[in-house]
Formats: sequence, structure tokens, C-alpha cells
Amino acid sequence: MAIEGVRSGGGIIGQIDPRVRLIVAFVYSVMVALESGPLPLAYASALPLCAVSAARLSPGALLRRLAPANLFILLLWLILPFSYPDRSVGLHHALLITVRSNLILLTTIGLLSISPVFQLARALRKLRFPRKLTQLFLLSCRYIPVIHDEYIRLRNAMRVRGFKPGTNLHTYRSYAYLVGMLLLRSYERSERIYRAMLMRGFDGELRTLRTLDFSGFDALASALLGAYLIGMGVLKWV
Amino acid sequence: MGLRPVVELEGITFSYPSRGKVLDGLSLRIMPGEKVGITGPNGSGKTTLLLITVGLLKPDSGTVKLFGREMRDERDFREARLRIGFLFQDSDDQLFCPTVEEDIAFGPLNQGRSEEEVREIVREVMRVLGLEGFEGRFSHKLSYGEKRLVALGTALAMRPELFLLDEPTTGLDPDTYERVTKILDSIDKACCIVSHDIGFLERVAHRIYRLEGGRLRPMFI
Repeated sequence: MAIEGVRSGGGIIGQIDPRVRLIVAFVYSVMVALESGPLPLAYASALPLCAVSAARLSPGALLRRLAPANLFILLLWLILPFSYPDRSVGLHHALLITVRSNLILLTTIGLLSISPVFQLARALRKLRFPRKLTQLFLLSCRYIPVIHDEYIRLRNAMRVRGFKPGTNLHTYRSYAYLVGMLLLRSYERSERIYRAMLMRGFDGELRTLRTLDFSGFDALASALLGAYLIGMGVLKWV
Repeated sequence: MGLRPVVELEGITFSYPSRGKVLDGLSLRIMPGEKVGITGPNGSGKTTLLLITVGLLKPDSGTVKLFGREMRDERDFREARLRIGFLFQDSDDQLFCPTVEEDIAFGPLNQGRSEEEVREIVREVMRVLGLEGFEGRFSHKLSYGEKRLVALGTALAMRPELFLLDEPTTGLDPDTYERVTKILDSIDKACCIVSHDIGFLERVAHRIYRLEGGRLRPMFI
């Protein structure tokens, strides 16, 4: 599903050590979130544009990934202008949020979504990210599609028996059953998965096949990206 | 050596709070290289029996011996599990890594094998399964039959001394069915195979039992 939806090898960006990409994406996101000047934001748009175009992602897939977040932002455009005495202040805020969110999203997509999830998890662990959170991340990526499939199966089972949603108690009750059943099944599945992992000697640590090497190319990429981020900081404070 | 049983279950009793007693004084012994088939009605406790054997469920009474040692606590079982290949009924439970390769490598890496050795095992397992080139595929995008094969591969990859297989052939198309049967036939380790498919068990197993009323009854073949 979404996780590897836009994956396409990743081109040159995909060659950079995932640890570097994680750190850059994190620092970049924090900086953009605190940024409000037009010039620094224009400068900040260079990284996502380069990353996304270097990753050669299909435009359709890219839009599909941006759509949900922007749908939410659309709500802000409807609400914010009326939340301030001066309407233009509200509009300015809405615009700022739109630009920041999309820059951060594009950067995350361009830098991170091109990697296999396992590689990212490994990089997170190498960066001393807590073990439990890493596993949570990894297992979510793997099982959200499974739960989604289960949801589709249950919904189809409702449909073939003539279920038509409406504004009535029967509909609410049926949806409650659906959600309840999904939760129950997910819980039971998690137990079965855990057993299956125990059977293969799982002891809490995720061991992985490929080791991460920090190459000369990675050093060069870190230097360039670091300089870029410093440039962003300079623009903010000058 | 080699003549002590791999599995020895004695007087196993187990009940579920909601289902009552499913196993009632069950005993089973499997010798090295011996393949035992177990069949029986739905809900008769076949999967329960496998889970008890590896310590994932605790019996109300009775003893479990694996590789000649009595299993007293979780620590004993943890050690023994590294020598057992377990195939679960639902492959989506077993395959939790994003890619096939990582899934096959998971068990051997936990056994503490070196990276090269694990790579060699992955290659070998993919060859045995006839799935060369599947290494980078996403587990959840595989077809049902492919998932079953890869799940079997995760068990094979551990190079176990004992296989516990829960319905290895259920729902497979004739080709995959044949492939799985051939692979299981070529295994020379002890196996305990749960299946509804008597024809299949007759082909691969040395002995077949029927689990009914909480106990195993020998079936004649």
C-alpha cells in the first residue's frame, strides 16, 4: 500500500546512507516548521524539488501521497480566515502551513520513501532510536496492508448480504461491529505473529542482513546536505 | 546416539476456558528421521498440540521432552526452538518482514549465524523452493501459494532437527502441492505434520494418528 507505493529504486538519492537521509530529513523538517520568511522558504524548496526529481517518482503517485494531508489543510483554509479579526492574518497562516507541510512531506517522500522499510528501520536502530519504536514502525508497515485487506473482506461480506449504509442505528451498529471485529482480529493476529517470531528465535533484537557502510560518497553527500542546511540557518538569522 | 526420541510428550492435558478439555492425557513420541502425520476434526486440538510441544502454550499437566531433555521453563524452550522449524497455518502470521529475503534470513540470524552463511542459506532455500529471484519481493504481495512456500522456507532456513508443520498443503494448487510434497518427502529430519489431507499424509508420513477425544489413535495405512 502507501509504504512502498512510490518506490522506484530511488536513483542517486537512494545511494546515500539512510542514516544521513534520516538526519537530514529530521533537521530539515524542524527548521522548515520554524521558518516563516518567504526567502528562506524559497531556498528551502530546493531540497524537496531536487530529491523528488532525482528519485524519479511518478507524478500520479506523488499527488496521491500529498492528497490526504492537503485535504486536511483545506479545512484550515476554511476555518483560519474566520478565526482572526483580520482576515488576511488567517489567510497568511493558512498559506504558511500549506507551504511548510508540503515542503516537509515532499522531502520525506524524496529522501525516505525510496528506501525499503527494513533499511530505514536498520538505520533508525543504528542511530540509537529505541528498539520498541523501531519494531512498531516496522510491523506497522508490514501489517497495515493486512488489516486493510481484512477490512475489505469484512466490508465485502457485509455488502454481499445487502448492507447499505444510511443514517440509522442499524448502520452505526454494523460499523461498530466491523471496527470491533477488526480490533479483535488484529489483536489475535499480533499474538500469532509474536509466536511465529518466537519460533524463529526472536529475542527482542532485530538482526538484519546488510550492514551499513559509510562510504566516501556518503561523506560527500553529508557535506553537501549539511552545507545546505547551514545555509538555511544563516538565511533565517541574517 | 541418535536413538533417543526427538519429541516425547507424556500425559498432556489441556483445556481452553471457552472450549473445555481438548487434550486429555495425550502421549506422543517421535524418533529422529521419523515423520508422523496427525489428522482429526476441526477444533480437535491439533494446532494446540503443536503449540504445547514448543512451549507457546502451557499444558495443565504432563511433560514435554525435546531432544532428550525435559522442558521445564521458557528458557529451555527458547533454546530448543532454535532447533525446530515451525510452519504456521496462516502465512501472513509467519511472514512479517517486508521482503522475502529478510524473512528467510530472520531465523538463521537469530541463531547467530554469520552474514555469509545466512546469504548462502537464503540462496539455497530459494533454490529448493524453486523461487529464485523472489528475494526482493514484498511478502504481502505474494500469491497465497508463494506465501506458503516462503513460509516453509523460513522453517527450512533454520536447518532444524525437527519440523512441526501445521497444514502445509491446505489451499495449494496442484503444482505447488506437488512441490511442497516433494520438499517434505526429501526432508530426512523428524517431522510432525498436521493435515486433513490423508492422501498427502500417506505419501510423506511413516505413521498417521487421528486426534480425537483428546488422545491420539493410530490409523492404518
